[in-house]
Amino acid sequence: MNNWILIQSLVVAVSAGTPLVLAGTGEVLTERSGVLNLGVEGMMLIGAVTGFWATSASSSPVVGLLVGAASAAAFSMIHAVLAISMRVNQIVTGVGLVILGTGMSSFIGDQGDPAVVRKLSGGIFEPVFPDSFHDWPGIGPLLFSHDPVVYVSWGFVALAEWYIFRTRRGMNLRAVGHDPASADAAGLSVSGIRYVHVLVGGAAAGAGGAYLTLRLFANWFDSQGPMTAGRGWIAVVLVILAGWRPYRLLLAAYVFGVISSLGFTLQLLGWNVPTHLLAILPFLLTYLVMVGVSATQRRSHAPAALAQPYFRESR
Amino acid sequence: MSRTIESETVDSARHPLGRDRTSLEGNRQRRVSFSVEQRPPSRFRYQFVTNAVALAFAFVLGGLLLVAADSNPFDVYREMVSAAFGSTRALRDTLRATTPLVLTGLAVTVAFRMGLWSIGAEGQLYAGAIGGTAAALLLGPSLPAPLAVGVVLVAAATSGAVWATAASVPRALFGTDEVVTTLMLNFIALGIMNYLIFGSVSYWRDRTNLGYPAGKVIPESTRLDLYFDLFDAGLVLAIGLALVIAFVLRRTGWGYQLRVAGVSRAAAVYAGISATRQIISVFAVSGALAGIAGGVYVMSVTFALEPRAIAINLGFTGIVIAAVALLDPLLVLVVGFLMGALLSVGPSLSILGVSPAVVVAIQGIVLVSVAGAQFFIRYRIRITRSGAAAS
Repeated sequence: MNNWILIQSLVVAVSAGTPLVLAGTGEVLTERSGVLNLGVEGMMLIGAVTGFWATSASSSPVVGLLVGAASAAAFSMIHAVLAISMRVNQIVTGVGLVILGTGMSSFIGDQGDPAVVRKLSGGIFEPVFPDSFHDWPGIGPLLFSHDPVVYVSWGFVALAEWYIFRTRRGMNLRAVGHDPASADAAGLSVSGIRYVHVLVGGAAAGAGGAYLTLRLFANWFDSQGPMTAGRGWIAVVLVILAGWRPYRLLLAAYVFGVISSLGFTLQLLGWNVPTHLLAILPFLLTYLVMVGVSATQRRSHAPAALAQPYFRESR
Repeated sequence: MSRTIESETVDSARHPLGRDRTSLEGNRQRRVSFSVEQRPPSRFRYQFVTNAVALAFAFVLGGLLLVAADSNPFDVYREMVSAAFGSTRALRDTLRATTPLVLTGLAVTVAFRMGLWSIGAEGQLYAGAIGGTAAALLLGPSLPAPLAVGVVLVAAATSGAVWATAASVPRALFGTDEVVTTLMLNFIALGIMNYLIFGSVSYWRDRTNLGYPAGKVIPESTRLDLYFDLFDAGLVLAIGLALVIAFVLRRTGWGYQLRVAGVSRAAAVYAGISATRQIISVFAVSGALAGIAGGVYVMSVTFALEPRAIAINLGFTGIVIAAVALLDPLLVLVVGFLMGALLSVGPSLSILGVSPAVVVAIQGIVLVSVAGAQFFIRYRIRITRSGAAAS
């Protein structure tokens, strides 16, 4: 019985971690090109509301996911233009994107008659495999009880890992993020590569946000503040924690999910724990790990040119 | 005017490499190429006009947003102005919203000026609210009003400063990324505040109230809203602190060193400025300002530790204000007042059938637009026609 609870809590952690995996892997790609986009929270919200709207209109969660990703990518273009071409401080524009995304998503959610907020979704993502698969002992629920987006996110992580470290384009990406002047001298388009990866990061964050409305909550709401509830910020932090490696980000996101659902799990096990204190635990552990890692690590794994605008004239 | 900016944006977005390269390859066709070059330090008038254009541009974009939502932007803007300044009551609401925003704006300004990207004003504000409320409940009843107010403010400032050390010490000793630590500390501070009221029967909670969990109300001697009719006494403090910070940044050694480190860390190291001490002291000042914001907010608005009423992104908005004010403490006063006006009109817009969220959207557009304007202040785009001779 305890085993069952353990496995169920892992399954929940995978589902809860999927928005983080999608948005975080996108942010890994963005940051590998040397652009820091703190606006993940804002991009996720844009993806969440437009994805929900598109699904309500088309009755297809796949359309919703794609629309969410596309609108968040378009939204991330603001950051790309400001940070890459206009050399504005990336922390400031990132925060700008969060505020703008919070306001815009809420504004969009209030539009229409009935408002997007009150529309019933046209359908949400359902598990892929038939129920009989879930009953396999141990790995059954862990591997086969998920909806398609979870498998897509696994594929995305594998693809990103392969792309960054095993392809020529990935090498170019790392070069641009590490030493843009040399990459430029070698004939790479620094701005072009950065633009593409900011947009990819935006699309991934939008898909992560759409997953919230199309599966995790199966609804759009913002009465208690933004429905992402800080997930975008956590994705940014997990990227650093994972050392800019997609597969480590996947692990970090799920570990974060397990710790976040610990209060729920312990209650199922019959323990009486203060849930409000347990809610702090994942953040406290992340903080401690970050401090511990930086205290023991010799050198940072961050792309050397992260958050630094590049321009030729100032050699 | 707005149209010009938009087209320049697109052009500069495309320019840097592709076009230069084609011109190097000796194209026969007549080509126009753009290059971005640094502008000599521009005059005040140019800077002022550029930023004013950016603000106007932001409100034009906001207007388009309203048009897209089938509202008349002129009606909405008129309603906004009257809801923010149109009556004594409106002005009082605006000024009340201004106080905490100026304080968090100053907190962010001090940190950003040194190149410390602290996102932690939000959590430091909660810490200040917790510490300030504790002092008010503990000492407020036994002290005369001026002394009680002073004690609470010192407690709030200290709590904020101490909370900031959780980010500054790892940064100073190990170089731990302060964006990450301050973000996590925000969530932790929020969790602690929620625990104190919703998760436990703590000293801060009203034990006589058996209904929905609420905070214990602070004694009258510690309230700041009783002195002036139009604004709370916290606003006087906020204005005073803005003047002090402006003076400190411009006229003291500490402020000078902070600005040097902000412009070039290498220069600061070369000049023998101790980064460790500087990081810890700047974070402490920033945290104290955010802590005071939390204390003042409890003393003049919530009168108790009420997590739902306190966690409304005041610290986060401070980042917007500091950035729009271009990290100038005196401009923080102006921008804080305007943002206070903007945020206080949200609810009144629903009468016009406009989503109150539009004020947050406009806030974001203003930030992005003013940030973009800095490009036109620091650089200019040179248009050259090349390849004409070859054809």
